Amino acid sequence: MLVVFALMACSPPAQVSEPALGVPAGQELVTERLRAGLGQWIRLDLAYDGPWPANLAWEGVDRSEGSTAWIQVTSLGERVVRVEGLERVVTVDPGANRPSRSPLPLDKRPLTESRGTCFDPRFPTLTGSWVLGCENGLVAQAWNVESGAVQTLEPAQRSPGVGSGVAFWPGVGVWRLDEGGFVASKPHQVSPIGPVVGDGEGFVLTTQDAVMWGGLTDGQRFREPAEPASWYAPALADDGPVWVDRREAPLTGLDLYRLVDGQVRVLVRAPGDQRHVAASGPWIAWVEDGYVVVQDTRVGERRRYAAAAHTASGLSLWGPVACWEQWNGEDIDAVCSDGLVAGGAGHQRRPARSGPWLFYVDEGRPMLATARELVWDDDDPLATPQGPRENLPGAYRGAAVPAGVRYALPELPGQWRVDVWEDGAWVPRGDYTAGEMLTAQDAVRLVRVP
Amino acid sequence: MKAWPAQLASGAVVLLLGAVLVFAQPLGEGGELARACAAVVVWGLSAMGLGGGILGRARAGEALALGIGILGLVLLLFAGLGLLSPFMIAGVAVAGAAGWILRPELEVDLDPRVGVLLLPLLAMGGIQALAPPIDTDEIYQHLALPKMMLHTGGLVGGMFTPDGSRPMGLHLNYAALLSFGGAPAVKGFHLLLALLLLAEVQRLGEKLAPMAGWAGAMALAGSFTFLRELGLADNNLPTSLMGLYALRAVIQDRPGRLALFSGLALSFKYTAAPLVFGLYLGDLVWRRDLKRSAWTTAAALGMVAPWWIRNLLGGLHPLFPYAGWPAGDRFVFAYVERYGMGRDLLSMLMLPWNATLHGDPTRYEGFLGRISPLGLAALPGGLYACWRASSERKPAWAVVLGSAAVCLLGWALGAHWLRYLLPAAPAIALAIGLGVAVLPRWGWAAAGLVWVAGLPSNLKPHLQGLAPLAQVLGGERTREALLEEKVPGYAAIRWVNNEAPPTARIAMAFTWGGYHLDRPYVLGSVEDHVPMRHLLYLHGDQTLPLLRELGVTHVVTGRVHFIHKTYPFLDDATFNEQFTQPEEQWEEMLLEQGTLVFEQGRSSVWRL
Repeated sequence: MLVVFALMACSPPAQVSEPALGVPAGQELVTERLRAGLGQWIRLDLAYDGPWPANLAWEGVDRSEGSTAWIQVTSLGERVVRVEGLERVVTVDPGANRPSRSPLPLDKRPLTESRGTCFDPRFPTLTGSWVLGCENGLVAQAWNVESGAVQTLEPAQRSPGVGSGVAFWPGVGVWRLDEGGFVASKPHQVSPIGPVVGDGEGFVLTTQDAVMWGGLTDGQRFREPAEPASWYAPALADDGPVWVDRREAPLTGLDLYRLVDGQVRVLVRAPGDQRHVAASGPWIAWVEDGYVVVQDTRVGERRRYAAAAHTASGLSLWGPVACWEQWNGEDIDAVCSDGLVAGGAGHQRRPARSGPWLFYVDEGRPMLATARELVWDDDDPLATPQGPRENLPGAYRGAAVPAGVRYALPELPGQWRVDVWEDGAWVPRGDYTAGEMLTAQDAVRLVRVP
Repeated sequence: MKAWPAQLASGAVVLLLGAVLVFAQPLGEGGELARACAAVVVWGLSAMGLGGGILGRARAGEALALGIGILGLVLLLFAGLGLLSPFMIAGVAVAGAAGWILRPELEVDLDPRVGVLLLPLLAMGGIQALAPPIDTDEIYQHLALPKMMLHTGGLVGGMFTPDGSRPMGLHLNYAALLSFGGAPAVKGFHLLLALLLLAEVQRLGEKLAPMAGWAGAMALAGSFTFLRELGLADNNLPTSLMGLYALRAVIQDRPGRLALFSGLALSFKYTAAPLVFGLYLGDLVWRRDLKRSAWTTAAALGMVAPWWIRNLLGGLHPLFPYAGWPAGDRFVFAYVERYGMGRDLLSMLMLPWNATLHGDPTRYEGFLGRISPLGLAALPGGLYACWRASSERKPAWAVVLGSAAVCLLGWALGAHWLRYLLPAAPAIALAIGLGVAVLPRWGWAAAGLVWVAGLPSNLKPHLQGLAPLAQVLGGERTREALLEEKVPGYAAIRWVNNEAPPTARIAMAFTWGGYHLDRPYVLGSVEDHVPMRHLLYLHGDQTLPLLRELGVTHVVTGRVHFIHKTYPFLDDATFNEQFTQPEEQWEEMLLEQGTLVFEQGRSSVWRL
């Protein structure tokens, strides 16, 4: 620890100086990326809940108030960015990957099992390996896309909560789809103002004046006063609930708040409407004008994907992979941040992602796309570089990490083969074992074995 | 103490008490009913005083009806100047009530036995009056426009609010009632007029012939199409009441009142035109005085003219929105073929039978309504009554039967929607009454049996409609739950009310329900969602930029998904051009240029 403190103390001056006017204690400083290439611009955001104006040096609500700034990293090594006692360390590498990445190959098939129209336009949808569909407008059946198994959800619900392979309704019960059973929960009267969301064990919902969360079956209920925006779903991250809040709508539009250790914390309080929040483990994602943003709450890194997601009625998150509706200039495609894209003529809408599966609705028809391969590069959120990134000939997207990259890849259904990128080509390495830590100098690819 | 000062003092106390209830609201939230009743009493007394002051000696109902019409014209002046406000309306109410100072001689000559008929109707209408507004016509027009006028302080209308360009005399009265006592006051006032109409039909009919009044009133009270209007805010029955007093004026040889009431009937609803035409024709044939017909016609049109002038000053066709659409040559405002069971000769000849036996409130082919079979049963008697009117020289009968025939012919030439018969209800009901009255006693009994036989099919759909309303009034169901179930797009409207910025300006596309929106808005639906379709027809892909230029920040839109089989008379190309393409184009525009901020079922909200 002493060595770390010493390094921090000796680090070169931060690119953003201590603000002259002083920023009242904010909760968190997040950076667009923790590893950057030399000369790149990095966006900094302050999750700030103090009074306005914050600081003339920060951009935001208008010319004098805000919580956003940009820095350009111009020297190698670790750079410390500080604001009023908050700080982040950014590692500057000599090289960087090119921003573009190739679309992933996939197989598509219509989900003929799901024929019924649903009252709630968020359905049919995919959760885990199950597609939830409707009868008489109510969500009443689930089909397993892997095994073809069918389950009847009794009693049928108009807008059940969904998350990680379960469907549920607080005060009614939980359908654990993988286990094939319904567990009744304690009767509980709630009047949610938006969709109910869960993570397999707990749920979160919003009411007119509060956020409520608790266990799916243990009867525990917690309540935090808030001003949630109706219709928008809240989310349940590892740290706790996240929601879209309208308490400062006249000034900053819709903002995002979350609960951490029982304390309400600002996630984003900035101009524009930050909306459609979703969570998966430590990752929280949302849509804002022009971008889809995915934040790793463990390290304070906030990745931004340029997106025209204005048509979206929701955001799907699988780990750090976000999927959204993308207006491509002519029509809507279902797009994921890892390169999985369901495009084509007409509108492909309402994407829901789980592992290699991407559920979407193509001109009104439910479809399932299955990735034939999945690729992670050395700048992926699941990759941990062991040394500096360098621009190298033949490297995947232009850069690699000679010291090696460790990949903590997710568990995937079925058989997969591991390929690694070496000297401009994919080289087979062997079968993939779930939970195995992969190490490579550049990108890795999992190829589905038929 | 002399009688008149005592009456004036009593009236003043009532007005004062009403004003306290309306403005001070001493009973709090629980006093909504008291407030609505007070508003009805205050406005009713004001109108009656004004009408009585003008007429001098008249029936109380006539004074009330004329007062409503004159108050509408007075409010037009203030609204035209942008001065419509609750306090200004209160001033107009006081000024109207000053008519009582002129000591009008008002007679209330109603048969108390008609109460047997009115009391159950009052109960049913009361439920509808006190329940949240869910009727399509109420929430897009009869309550929405008064609310919008109160919001803006003036008249509304033009291409972006076409409904507001109709004559608004009655709706300005509704605006006054709305500002005093909320929607229940408007609906309660309308209920009062409807019950008055029924009582007056009974009274006038009995003067024409024994049993004619009872049969006519029962024909109305036994018809679903009439019943469903009780306790709604609408303009059919007030128009009908004006028509009744115009008919009475013809019979009593009072040309001045004929001009006043027929003009007001037209200014309340243009579909009173067949009745007015029939009455003028009857008056001309009876009195054979062309000069009198000319000046009464001119005077009647003079009552409507302010609304035509208003449209002309706004650069619109005087009859807009019924005529004068910029793309009117290619764009049909309403397809009359859509209603009923056909328009060929055989279908027309079968119309009385089909409209009675195949009436269905839920289907366009079912004339979107249901009527008592008493009308059909009275047809032979009606023909016999015509013969007697001619042979026994009964000109009053002839006017009733003739104007009823003109109304039925006019209806047959227009849209076969049973509701469109309501403005002509007095003439038709009295003609039915005469058709029964000429029968022997056993015929009366048979007619009574026919009426009773028709009750279940007419009452059932109405009572089914009232059941959820009664649940709300009984506290078994929430107001919000009812609105969400019964008002298409209500969830989107509620979202705007709760979430959109206070400065938001809304465009309502393919959506009814403007009354429930608490923000200023443009467009809104009428007929087959005409305003939006026409806008798209005219401006194509420039529609959204145009709305932005108008300051629209949010769009509330519904997905109608027009079905071709409901327009079987249109070929594929026309249907696509008129219905499918505009809706698809609109959806594409929103997807490309808007930001979806709410969606539930078929309704959604987009930020521009």
